Amino acid sequence: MKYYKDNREYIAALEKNNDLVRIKEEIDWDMEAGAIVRKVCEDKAPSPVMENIKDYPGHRYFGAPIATYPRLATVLGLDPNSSIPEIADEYLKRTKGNPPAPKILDKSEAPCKENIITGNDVDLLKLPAPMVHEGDGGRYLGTWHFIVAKDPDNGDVNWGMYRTMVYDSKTMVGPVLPFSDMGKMLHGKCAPRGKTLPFAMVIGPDPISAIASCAPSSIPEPELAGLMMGESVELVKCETCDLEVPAHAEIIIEGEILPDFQLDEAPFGEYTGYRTSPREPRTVYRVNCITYRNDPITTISNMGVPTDEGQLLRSFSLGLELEKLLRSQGIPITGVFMPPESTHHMMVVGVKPIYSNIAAQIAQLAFGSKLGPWFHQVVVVDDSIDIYNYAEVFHAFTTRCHPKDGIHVWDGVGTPLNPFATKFERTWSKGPKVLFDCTFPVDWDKNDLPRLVSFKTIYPQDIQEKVLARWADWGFNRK
Amino acid sequence: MYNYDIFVKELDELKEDQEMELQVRDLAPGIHKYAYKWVKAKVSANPDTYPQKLQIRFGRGQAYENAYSIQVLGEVNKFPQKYL
Ligand SMILES: Cc1cc2nc3c(=O)[nH]c(=O)nc-3n(C[C@H](O)[C@H](O)[C@H](O)COP(=O)(O)O)c2cc1C
Repeated sequence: MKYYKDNREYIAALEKNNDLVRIKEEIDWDMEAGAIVRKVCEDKAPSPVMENIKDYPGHRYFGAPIATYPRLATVLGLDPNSSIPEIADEYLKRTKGNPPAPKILDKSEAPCKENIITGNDVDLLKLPAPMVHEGDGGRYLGTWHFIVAKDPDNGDVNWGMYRTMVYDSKTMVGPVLPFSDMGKMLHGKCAPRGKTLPFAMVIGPDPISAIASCAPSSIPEPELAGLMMGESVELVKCETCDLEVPAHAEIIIEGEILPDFQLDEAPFGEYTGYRTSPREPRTVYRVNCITYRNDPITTISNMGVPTDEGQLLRSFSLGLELEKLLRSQGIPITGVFMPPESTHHMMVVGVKPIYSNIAAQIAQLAFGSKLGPWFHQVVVVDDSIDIYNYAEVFHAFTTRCHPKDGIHVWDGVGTPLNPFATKFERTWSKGPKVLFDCTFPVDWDKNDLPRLVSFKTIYPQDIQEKVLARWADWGFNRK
Repeated sequence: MYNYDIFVKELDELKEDQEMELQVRDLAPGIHKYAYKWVKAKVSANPDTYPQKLQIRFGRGQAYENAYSIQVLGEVNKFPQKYL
């Protein structure tokens, strides 16, 4: 199975695909690098590698690492022009089977140990954390990274992408939402006991490990990464705590998460395309060791209006997990698609509507699942609609969803990042949910059903073929 | 041109000409720019009262158009001793 052991191999592959731009001029870490990555995301332009960062000789940036479907296809060893369903098939193929246990490398074989800094020499400000957007609460070192932690009771290892802002030379701070895996360890186990939680933050992880860390899968992330790679992910022991980190990552930051002391964090440009969640006391990371590769490459994701990798990947993997959930319940769906432009707020489901209220059943399962907090709109269309075709879905939505009977609203769990939510809802993670049922009711008389008037549905096959056979000759473009 | 900035919810959190404990960001150019520190300081809405300029920002990062001035009297440690 094709995969890239580190970002250096992956960058070379993108370069071969003409999907990478190297910038040799000096770039300021203070907003300029962020502005470049933002424009790259908005233009769907090639990934930038910035090789000369102001104040930080020897350091480099890699921006927008997986912000497009062609890059995701490349990560999965596919042709960059693969369609979304082809990418989804490959992803599903790679996430099935028996996950291999990670392989622990000796320190001497692990590039991330090329430089080791401990004790008083540790200074986070010697790393080129970018000021990603004007007006952010600080410089964010953790934008495309993950945090490794171990459950204090059962030893389960979690990799999770939780953003981190540099507070001072030895301190970072960031939100760890209470329903996330690390949130449960921290708020549910460590905080009540007054115990610190050792952590290791991985900056510049290989692309598959990064995907695993933000995927909503039930397989532990180090194993999920191995499964997706087709062989064990290579880890190495941390210097100062009982954790393992990917041996080929660029920078590792080790330390402890504090159970009983918080600092203000944010504002920050978020995946919704806004700065929404308020500045407030959040989780504090105290740092006691930094290890890094020679000429390290810091990854930057710049969250804002679509499309960045957070939106793309989370939409993709949330959609696929929800598809698995619905299939596991035997619901006759044709597929699930979360458009990244919805910032994974909208789940579009195609279904064969074989019984009444099948759309409500789908929405209740989806909203009631572990993934429910991350989205609030479910659109259910029938199996005649191509769920990846925005025009078809939009047409079904505007014509088939009954404004009273087709819209169902429930209370649910939300996130503080929802731009539409009230202050109260954001504070208490409350999230209203809505279903748009765009299927015609099954109790309607079949002969009374509105008939779709399109070239493909309204003309006999022989007429369609006759017209198509001469289409190009008449001077129309063939499509 | 600003030496420090500070995030506030409301302007009247800043009591003018009184010694206050504030969490500010150092804006001096270089690798320490934007690092936070707790300081004892006096501030004024008049940009010329104290020697250094203070930029005010609100909760979503919006910069207040008028400059304040600030005199930093010393740093304060807020970190629990057990974690230092
Ligand atoms: C770029 C990016 C930044 C994220 N930042 C945060 C964050 O700051 N806090 C958080 O709780 N989740 C954040 N998430 C979502 C988590 O990564 C996501 O829920 C992930 O699945 C962690 O899963 P787990 O808690 O189920 O292990 C972020 C996701 C991405 C892609």
